[in-house]
Amino acid sequence: MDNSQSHLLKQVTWHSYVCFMALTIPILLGWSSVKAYDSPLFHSIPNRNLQNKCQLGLYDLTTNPAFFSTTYPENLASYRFGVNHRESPFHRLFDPKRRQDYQLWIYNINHLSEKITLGASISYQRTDLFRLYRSLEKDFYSEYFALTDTTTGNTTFDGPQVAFLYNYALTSRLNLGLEINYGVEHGLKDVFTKCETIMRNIDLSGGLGWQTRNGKFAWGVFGRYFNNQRKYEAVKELQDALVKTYFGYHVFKSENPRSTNRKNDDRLGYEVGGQLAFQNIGLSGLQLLLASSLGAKSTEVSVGSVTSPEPKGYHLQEGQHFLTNLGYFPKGKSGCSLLYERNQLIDWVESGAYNVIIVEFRETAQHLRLRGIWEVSKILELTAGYDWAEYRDNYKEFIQIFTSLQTRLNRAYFVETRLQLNPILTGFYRLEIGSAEPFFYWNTARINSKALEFGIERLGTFGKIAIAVNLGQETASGYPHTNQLLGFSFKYWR
Amino acid sequence: MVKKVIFIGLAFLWMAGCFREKPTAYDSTFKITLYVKFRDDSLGYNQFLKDVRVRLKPIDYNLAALTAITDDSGKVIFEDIPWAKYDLEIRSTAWVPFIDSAGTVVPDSFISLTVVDTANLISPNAGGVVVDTIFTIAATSLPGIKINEIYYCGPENNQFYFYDQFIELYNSSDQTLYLDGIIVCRIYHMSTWVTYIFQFPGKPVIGREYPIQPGQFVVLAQDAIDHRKIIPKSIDLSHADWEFVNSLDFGDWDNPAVPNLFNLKAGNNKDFMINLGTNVILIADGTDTDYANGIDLATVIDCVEYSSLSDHIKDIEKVLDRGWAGVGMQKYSGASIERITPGFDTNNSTVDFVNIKPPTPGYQH
Repeated sequence: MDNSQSHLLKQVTWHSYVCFMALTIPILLGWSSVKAYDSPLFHSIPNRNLQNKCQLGLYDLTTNPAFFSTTYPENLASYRFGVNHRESPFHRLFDPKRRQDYQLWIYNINHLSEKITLGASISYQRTDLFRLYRSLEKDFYSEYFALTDTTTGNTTFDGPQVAFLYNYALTSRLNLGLEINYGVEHGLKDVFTKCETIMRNIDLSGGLGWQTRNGKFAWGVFGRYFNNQRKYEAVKELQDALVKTYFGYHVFKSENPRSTNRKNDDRLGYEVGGQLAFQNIGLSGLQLLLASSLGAKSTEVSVGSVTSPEPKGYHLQEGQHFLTNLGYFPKGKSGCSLLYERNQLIDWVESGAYNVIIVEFRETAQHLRLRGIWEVSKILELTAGYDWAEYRDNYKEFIQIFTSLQTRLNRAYFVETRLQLNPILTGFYRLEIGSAEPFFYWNTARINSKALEFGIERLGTFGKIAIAVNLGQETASGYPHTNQLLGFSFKYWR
Repeated sequence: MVKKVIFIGLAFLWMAGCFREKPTAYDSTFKITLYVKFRDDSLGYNQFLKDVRVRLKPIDYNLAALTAITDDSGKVIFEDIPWAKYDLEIRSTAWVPFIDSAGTVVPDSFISLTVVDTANLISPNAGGVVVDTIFTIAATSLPGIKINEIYYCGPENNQFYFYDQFIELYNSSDQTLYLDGIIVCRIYHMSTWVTYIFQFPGKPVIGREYPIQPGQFVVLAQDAIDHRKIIPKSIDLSHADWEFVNSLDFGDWDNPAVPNLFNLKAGNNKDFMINLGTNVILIADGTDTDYANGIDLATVIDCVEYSSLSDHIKDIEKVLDRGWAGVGMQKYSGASIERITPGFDTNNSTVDFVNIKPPTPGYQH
């Protein structure tokens, strides 16, 4: 369920995550973090598919569950464990100085019959945020209404997530797909206000996919509904660690000291979309996908006492997503693909007390991804890639006038080599270099990144085992210290 | 199948309809126009004030206060300001024509007054344009019986002990005054919302049994005992002058050596306990004890509001107390609030009081 889990991968609006887009996803070896936290309006395209390959199928690209069985025609069972450690001497004000993520993930794909395919996954995730300055949020910068107190502490978030996918062939050419993602997560800060966060997230999608008999043409439609709730409870000891609510990033309100300060965060949203896919038209191995979707997502926030919290505001995000992918894989593994993605997001935030807009944000994001895979010989495979992304952002706060107009460019290059050392052992490494122009609150012009992932893969009697180590570095311009990333992952699959 | 697809499509259209409409107005478009007037019916004043500084402090956000000066017509305009509730503050010197005792305006003769506002909060209306007249009064307070000290936050302890609370009165006049029939109230919100009302014995206004001499302190204890025997860091109130006693509170201490103030509120079975962070204490001459419809402001002798919050929203009419004391006071810190000097009273507890530690029952710090 890599991709179904990646449904919950992009947890935040584009502007807050993109700066490390190129770097962190490969480092995480495809597995994501923060699943029960939120659902993004549009899913990000994963770097690799469930089988850890760069060549993506229709399901990976569109998340339409009707295409699941055709994207993954083989049964698959996988067990994965990963740890990531991040030291961030350069960070935003309300970010942790250190972060550790753990994930245990089991997923299974079973083709029960010619008509029925089932996918299921269960995972457990834990995130430790160390030396987190004041923020009571998991990601302060992804919220327009965020809570802080006056302490610096460590916060732990953990919880299980499950995903279930059902694929049924209504006719020989028409497929029905249903997918459910559900997660709960619990967070606790270790110093007063000892803020406890309870999160629940459900993400449902259903789709239809139709394919011609020769497989040259396919279309699909899908719809998605998601619903997320969070409750925060910040308590006090004898002295108050004053709780504040931020409206945007510059204006805040000190909440009245009380035994418990409660924040309620209710979200819901939908997405509808359609896809057209062509294959082997004119040229054998040529693939073309056109996909588009639109959606909206609302967030309603109230803060105050447990019994009568005051409405703080309402946030609506509307967006359009367009994707096209051109691939050419004539024979075997060798081939190349070019992906273009365009997202348009409009956010507006209404005051909880008055019928006025307090924050407005517009973003147009374009993303170009080029991949080339060359099977040099039966034992050597080379992959190279280039990512380019442009973001045109217009962020405005109106309580106190603040405007940020930015056009940002992110780039990343990578090269990956897989070498079969002997019939059962394969070694691989991946080297990536990227640079990103981050959103204004990073307070730096550019962040450069380097990442290296290396490991071995061994074929055993019952399946394959892979062990990988990830190393990464980030350097912000004008800042002397370097952020360090270290990760380890273990995977078994058959 | 087609029907199902249509149904799903309709369901998503319905979903889209669940979201709110985008507001047409943006923040920072709120406009407030105020006319500042000085009114004193007894002296015959009712005129607009020019060159008076008006300060608006936003309540909904931690933003800096806005200030402006009234023009010749007494008007002041705040434009393009955040949509929020504002606490209005006028503390300014104003020149007004001199009106003699016969009520005649003396030409070319002016007197200087310190004026203060009587307004509490200004809230936006739907249109985002507020026009209001603000009445000011002279910031003077005659000598008399004053609430001189309030000890409310409890001693240093971890047993939630706060029964050593006391209120200290002071006679700042040069005449002997009388406590007969005076009521002591705890106010929850505005003078119309009385939480507790206790009364001295004797007949209000005319009684002459319980004198308070010029410069004398009188301590009203919640429980007139030596609290140090229970909490070592507490205080000795066994020599208090008066004690609050509620006969319906069976656990209430009653020191037989100390005279009592008695509960007037029907159904109240609590002692005179006051909030450890925010409250209003009011004393009135006792001619209006019908607490159900509030305390008649004309009968109020003195009133003090306290709150530990710097952005506290007023809980009492500004005509009684324009500010509040006790900002920054911590619960169970063993500190109290006391007037800067005995009886010092400008009707603004923010400037009249200081936080002191330890409390000083019966004397000045």
